[in-house]
Amino acid sequence: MNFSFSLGQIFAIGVGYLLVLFLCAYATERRWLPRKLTRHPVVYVLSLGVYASAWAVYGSVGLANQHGYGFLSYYLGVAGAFVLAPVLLIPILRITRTYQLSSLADLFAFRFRSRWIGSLVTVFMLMGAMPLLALQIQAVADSIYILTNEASPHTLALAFCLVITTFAILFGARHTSLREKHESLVVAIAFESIIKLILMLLIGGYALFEVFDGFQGLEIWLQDHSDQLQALQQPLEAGQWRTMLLLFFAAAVAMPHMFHIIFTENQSTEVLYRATWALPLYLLLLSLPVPLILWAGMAEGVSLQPEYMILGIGQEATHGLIGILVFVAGLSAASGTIILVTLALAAMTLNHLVLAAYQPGAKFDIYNWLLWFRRLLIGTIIIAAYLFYLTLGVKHDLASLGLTSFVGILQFLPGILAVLYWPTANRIGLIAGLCTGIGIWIFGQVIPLLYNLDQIAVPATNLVFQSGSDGWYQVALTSVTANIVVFIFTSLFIQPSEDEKEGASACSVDAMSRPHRLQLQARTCQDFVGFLAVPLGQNTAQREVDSALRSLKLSPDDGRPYALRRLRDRIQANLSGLMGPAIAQEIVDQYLPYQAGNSQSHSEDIHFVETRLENYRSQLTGLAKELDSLRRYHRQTLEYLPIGVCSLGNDREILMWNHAMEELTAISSKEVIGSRFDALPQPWQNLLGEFIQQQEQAHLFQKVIQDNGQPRWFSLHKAHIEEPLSHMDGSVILLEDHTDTQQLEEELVHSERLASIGRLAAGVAHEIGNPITGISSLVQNLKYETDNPEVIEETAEQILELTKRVSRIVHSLVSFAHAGRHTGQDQQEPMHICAAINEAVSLVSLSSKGKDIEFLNQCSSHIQVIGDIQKLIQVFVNLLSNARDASEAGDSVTITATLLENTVTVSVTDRGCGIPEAQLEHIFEPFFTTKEPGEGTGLGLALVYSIVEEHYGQIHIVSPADRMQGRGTQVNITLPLHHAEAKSESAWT
Amino acid sequence: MYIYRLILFLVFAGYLFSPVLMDWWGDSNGSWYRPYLVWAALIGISVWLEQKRKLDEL
Repeated sequence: MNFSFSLGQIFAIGVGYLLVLFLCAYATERRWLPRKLTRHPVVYVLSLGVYASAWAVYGSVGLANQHGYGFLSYYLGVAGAFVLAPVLLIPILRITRTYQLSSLADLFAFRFRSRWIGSLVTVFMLMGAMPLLALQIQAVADSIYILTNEASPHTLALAFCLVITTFAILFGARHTSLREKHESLVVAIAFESIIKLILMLLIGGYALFEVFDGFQGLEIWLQDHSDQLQALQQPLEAGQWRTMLLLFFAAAVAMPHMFHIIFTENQSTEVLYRATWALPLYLLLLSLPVPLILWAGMAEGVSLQPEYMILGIGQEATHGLIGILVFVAGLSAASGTIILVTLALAAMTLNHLVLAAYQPGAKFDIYNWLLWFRRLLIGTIIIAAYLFYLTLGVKHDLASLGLTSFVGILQFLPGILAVLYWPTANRIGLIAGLCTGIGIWIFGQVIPLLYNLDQIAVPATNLVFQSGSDGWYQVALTSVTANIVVFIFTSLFIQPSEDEKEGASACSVDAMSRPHRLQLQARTCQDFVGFLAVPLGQNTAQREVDSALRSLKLSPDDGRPYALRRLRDRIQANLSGLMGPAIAQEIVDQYLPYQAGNSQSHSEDIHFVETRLENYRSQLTGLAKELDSLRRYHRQTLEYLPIGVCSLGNDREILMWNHAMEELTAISSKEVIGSRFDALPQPWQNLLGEFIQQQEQAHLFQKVIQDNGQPRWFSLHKAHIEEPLSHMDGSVILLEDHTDTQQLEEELVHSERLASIGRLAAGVAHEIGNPITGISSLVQNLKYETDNPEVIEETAEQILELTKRVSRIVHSLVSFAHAGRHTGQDQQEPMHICAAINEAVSLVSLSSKGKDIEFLNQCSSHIQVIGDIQKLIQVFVNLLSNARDASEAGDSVTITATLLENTVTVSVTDRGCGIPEAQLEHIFEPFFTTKEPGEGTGLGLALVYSIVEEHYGQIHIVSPADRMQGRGTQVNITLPLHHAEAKSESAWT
Repeated sequence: MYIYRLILFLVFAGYLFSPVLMDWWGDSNGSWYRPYLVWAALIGISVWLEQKRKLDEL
């Protein structure tokens, strides 16, 4: 074929195209293109079209010529992987996004917790990708050579490599922001995909409408050349077809550039779901022209090799233009693949080979160091691919090169599936399987390729691997089968380590990571900066901590252990994106360690597990979904319980703080969950802390605290949670607010007290009236008898005595009336029960009704109880009043005390008519009274009951007290004894 | 998730029986674009499943 292009023209077209591509990326970066366009899902889907490398432009035509419709496997394999995205790609995306993993080596190193795995995968990946890169270089160099027939393909290839190295650095390693998504790169690759598609469709359209004159012409040509149609329709041998599908299926996830574009550059899960049908559609359109181009080449009798037949179609007048279109399409496909493969491999090599051997240390600016090393690696990889191409020469067709690469990459498929679906797989198994598979691949396919051997015999066996178009199939099956068998058996016989199990649970589709609740040595975010400054330098450490805090939306002042653990995880993930998971793991393990000898090493981070469960709810199905609904129901029950619930781990970290608790304490659950108990503000820390420390006390009633100067009453209950199977030991505390009830009760006591005073008023008036009359008489006597000083003195004494009596009465009344108003302070203190009874007797005696009743207080004056004397006076006033009302004139009311080991029982016994049995059960109910209207409020005994209970006592009524006569009532009040006194008074009984 | 198990089953079955499919589309009486029709049908099913997933997650 003769083309009329000079090398200069082709070079200008090629560099011009690449410059347009760069302009596209630059415009995206400078925000000249609207973000709505650059972040559109279609752009991401089109960028996935990078899969269609130079193979799609040149190799497919050659493969169609060789295997007929077998060429479709290149497209259908990857389409199958995308149809399976929900069970294959989405779970991998979840892992890579959560842990910032940007390559397959990262994924394996993270899952199997081994830097060696990362290094091994990188080395194998470099080996596997070399034939693919060589294919791109060869395709471009050959096409330039065919178009210009100038210079040797090797020289052209070198020039192409130098140009593409420059562009690869410009696209992917221009900035220090190594970790962030390359939006501009995605847009450029999407642009390439559009160019590829348009050009292929144009060439296909040209073949159909110009070469065959439309569909009808094509049908006529096919009828005339039925052998050509039959050749295309000749079915591929079933095994070969299946293996080919498997190869391209594996390539969709394992190829470095595919892994990068699918996972690292992904914008959202939703976009990947859309790609499940959009990418197969794109590939269908791209593959549609392939048979047309092949037939057009045949129809026109193009004399080129089948894979370059596309360059030769077209009449003399037009085939130059078609040649240019094909060249641009091929260049577009090859450059996109080379750039992305190289960027991905450079990152892997840097993280898993360079950094594994040497880390720059704090004295360097780590970002700059990484950037320059990455640039160096990009150049090195492209030159290595060129050298590989040189070693091979031009004696191999594109299909052989491509298949060699894909068989090598296929060896990673068992590992990928194990990451998702086989939690017991271990690193030894993976390494053994990979080494076996790659070993067979090198022996059976790479060595024959390099040394141009037709066949190679396996020593000590009868096995002979053929090279060429049939050999790949035999090597692919043998290597991947051996890989799987060795992987499975080694994993079955060797137990995975603990850290591998952790990795497995983080990656497995059906399991969820259950991190432990460990205490970090760093107590604040500033500690993080200080610790990380040692390996990273002060500036880098500060930048990393700030970036992690921003992404977690945490405050730099947050010192909650939960927040610090999340910060550590985020920093590890971010460093993993920068330096690979193995190095990141080492840095955080060494410089952000957990406290040694942490006794809670097995406590699980419940709150974190719950948060993740909430996030993954939509992914749960079947029984798991039902169980999750049940979990949510119980969770909501606790959350909305009208009693404050606070749950603590055994390390005293707060795990739950429900809505009622938030209302009671005015502390938001977000502020306290995950924090240490000691970080709780006062008075809550003291209230709950003291209660927790009292091991034997499960309940605490009516604890009063000062909250913002206001007294509040609470009852507390606690229980220990034991869950040895899941290591979730801890305790739960319930907090009940009794402030309203208590205040109401205080009001009630006061009202009752005033009512008592009202009832006493007549008697008081009478009591005061008598001494006043006496004083009046004495003063009148003084008027007339002023001579005798002795009489005057005696009269004055009598007046003084009567005045004191009045004063005493008034004092008793006033102190009774004013006492009892709560002051917010706990007024319970040791007090003499006898004194309280005496005071009550004197008050009750003021009443006119009490005149004829004798009150006999037989209690020892030494007995002490802990209590509020005013409240207990109120108790006895009420009891004695009731006894007096029930008694007849001349009766006596006896008050006795019986001392037991820890309690004292005070009995008030009258000889009245007693209480009917039917009324006994209602006697303590408020507003229940047997007295005449106006005589009693019905609150007296209810109040007595309440006060006694408040003093941790009991009240019991015996009626009739005298069973023989069927009369009298005895009220027994049992109160806790003040213990110190009880010992000294033990002789009293 | 059940529907994805169905896809998994269908794709695996498709993989196993794809040589039969090849025989079918290689039938000399058929049109040359027959494989593309099958492929287009597969894309149609994927679109339907994707729509169904969206509805399920609403």
